[in-house]
Amino acid sequence: MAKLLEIKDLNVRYHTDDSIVYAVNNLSLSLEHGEKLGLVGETGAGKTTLALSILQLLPNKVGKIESGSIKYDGEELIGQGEGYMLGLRGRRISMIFQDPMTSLNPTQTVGDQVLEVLRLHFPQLTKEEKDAKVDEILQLVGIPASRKNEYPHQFSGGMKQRVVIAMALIAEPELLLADEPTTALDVTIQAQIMELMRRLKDKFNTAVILITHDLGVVAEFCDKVSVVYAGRVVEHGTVEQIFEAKEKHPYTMGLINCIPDLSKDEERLKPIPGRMVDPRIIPTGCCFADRCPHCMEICKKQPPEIHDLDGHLIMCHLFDAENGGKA
Amino acid sequence: MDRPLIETKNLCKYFKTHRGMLHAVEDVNMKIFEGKTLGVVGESGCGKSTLGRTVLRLHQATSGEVLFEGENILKYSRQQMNRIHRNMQMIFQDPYSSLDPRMSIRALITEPLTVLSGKEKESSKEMDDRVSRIMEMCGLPRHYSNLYPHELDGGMRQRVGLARAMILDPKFIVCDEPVSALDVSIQAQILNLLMDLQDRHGLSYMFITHDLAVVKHISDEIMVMYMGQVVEYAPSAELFRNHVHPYTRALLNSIPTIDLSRRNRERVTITGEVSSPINPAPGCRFAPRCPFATEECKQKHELKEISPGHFASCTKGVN
Repeated sequence: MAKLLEIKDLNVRYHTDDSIVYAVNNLSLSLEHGEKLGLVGETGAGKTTLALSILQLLPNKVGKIESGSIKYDGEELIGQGEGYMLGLRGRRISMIFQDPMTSLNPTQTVGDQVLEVLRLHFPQLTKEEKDAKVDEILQLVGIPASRKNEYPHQFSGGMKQRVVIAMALIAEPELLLADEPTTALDVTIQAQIMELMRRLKDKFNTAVILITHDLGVVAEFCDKVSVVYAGRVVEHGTVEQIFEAKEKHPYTMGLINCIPDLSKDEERLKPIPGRMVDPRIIPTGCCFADRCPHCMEICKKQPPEIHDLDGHLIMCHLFDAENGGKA
Repeated sequence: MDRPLIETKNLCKYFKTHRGMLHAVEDVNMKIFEGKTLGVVGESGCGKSTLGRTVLRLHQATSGEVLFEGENILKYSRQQMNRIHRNMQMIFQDPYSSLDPRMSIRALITEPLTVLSGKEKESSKEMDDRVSRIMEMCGLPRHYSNLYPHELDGGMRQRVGLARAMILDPKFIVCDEPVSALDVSIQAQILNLLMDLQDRHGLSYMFITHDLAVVKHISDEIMVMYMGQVVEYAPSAELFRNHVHPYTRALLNSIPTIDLSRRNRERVTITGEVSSPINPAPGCRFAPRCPFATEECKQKHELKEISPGHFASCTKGVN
């Protein structure tokens, strides 16, 4: 069976009036059916741009896929017409956006908004069948069917996110892109929503790309992790490889060190110094070089290669053969 | 030192709404000593920000007392408050909306001084020195002084917010979710800065956040709030080792961790959501969501000292 999603050497640029923003650079990643991949990185790393590229929803004229390929279930998506994409979006690939407060239409009842997906993608169903499906999915995400005639403002943040999840899953898509689905929510509500996503994922065997900056959420939910920095995947592996293996990309190491550890009593945190590179510049060497504690001469001159340690991919000069192949 | 720098006694803040009284802060007693940090945690809408603002008199308290160095500041006149506000400052959550976009960084940092001294403009050499000293203290490069907020990223803006508070040389700062809007790597930089400033200047913080990991790191004592009520109050280490209230336990259990061995732990997620704080029933407000609730819980809510310095309103379900 073909991979569900295969992205190869993707380059995405934003063209502004006076500069070019290199948002995604030579990025490759793949996803099997039913797999849960975490996409981790700081603000501006290109995580959301990647998701929008898959759905071909980049801002018109400004955002452009420069080169590369995105294959979905064996079919190339780049260059497909709008008609083809419309059949895909919401039906076979769904997206949950970060802010549940703004991704619902305030003038429509939540029941109607969920129903709209069915109207678009399953016109052959009768009205009764559609209504029954809406009731069923609302029940599944924990919203009593009696509330389907209410408007979004009558729901709390967590409940709104449940409505958004219901909309995303009613067509039983093969792939769900979840862009920071719980960032705007409280921890207890976050735990409820993640539990819900875990249950629904098992029920529909949906593959999930979870975009987040919260390593804890990734460790608890995902099978695999891609760490993104400045539009590149700098490290990729299973959750065990990322969180437990000794070999790590210095950036991943930095991210893990930033999190205050509840089980230890530390005096000071170890922040990553400096800030993300300006995305309008292509660095000559490694994109992380000027923040990296292990920076060497070569790091400033030459972009690092990807090293494959049993499927654990690390893009760093520390793992070059002449450096002994390890950190 | 036995006298706390800041103390509240039975502090209440209610808001009038068209549906009735909203009990945002109910009967809060707390103490913060010099050079110490009190962490205030709870979910959105639990009254933690309102409490911070009421302590600074940005909201007028409904009843109770706020003592600063032993004096009840709720009785102070406007002029007296002006004087006391030099000692009590606040930094805000959103570094994007809390800075006037039309003011330069220098103007932003000097504004609190000109406001409190009543002088229109301060442009002396002395002032320049002071501004550059404060900027350096907060990790802001000197050439930033002529820039505008939109030219800075979130972390740098938060440093400007901190510089605005620090220029008055305060003794007490209310930090309302100062790192929630920042990336983890930047968050760690700001937390370290806050702790450095505390060490050097003996500052006291009231640190309001929903992030328990952050609060553990920075606090000496922690207060857990639920719908305006304090449910547990203890020294930081004690609270994390030995938390007893059902809500605190659920809250701590909900934090996702990167420790893979805890991946399959039994999750005590609480169901349901925060109900309305308008005209609340007497008794424990967590009761409707609490798995251990009994009839008695609906009658009264009272903090009890369960071990020295550790207060909790409930110990049900602890084995």
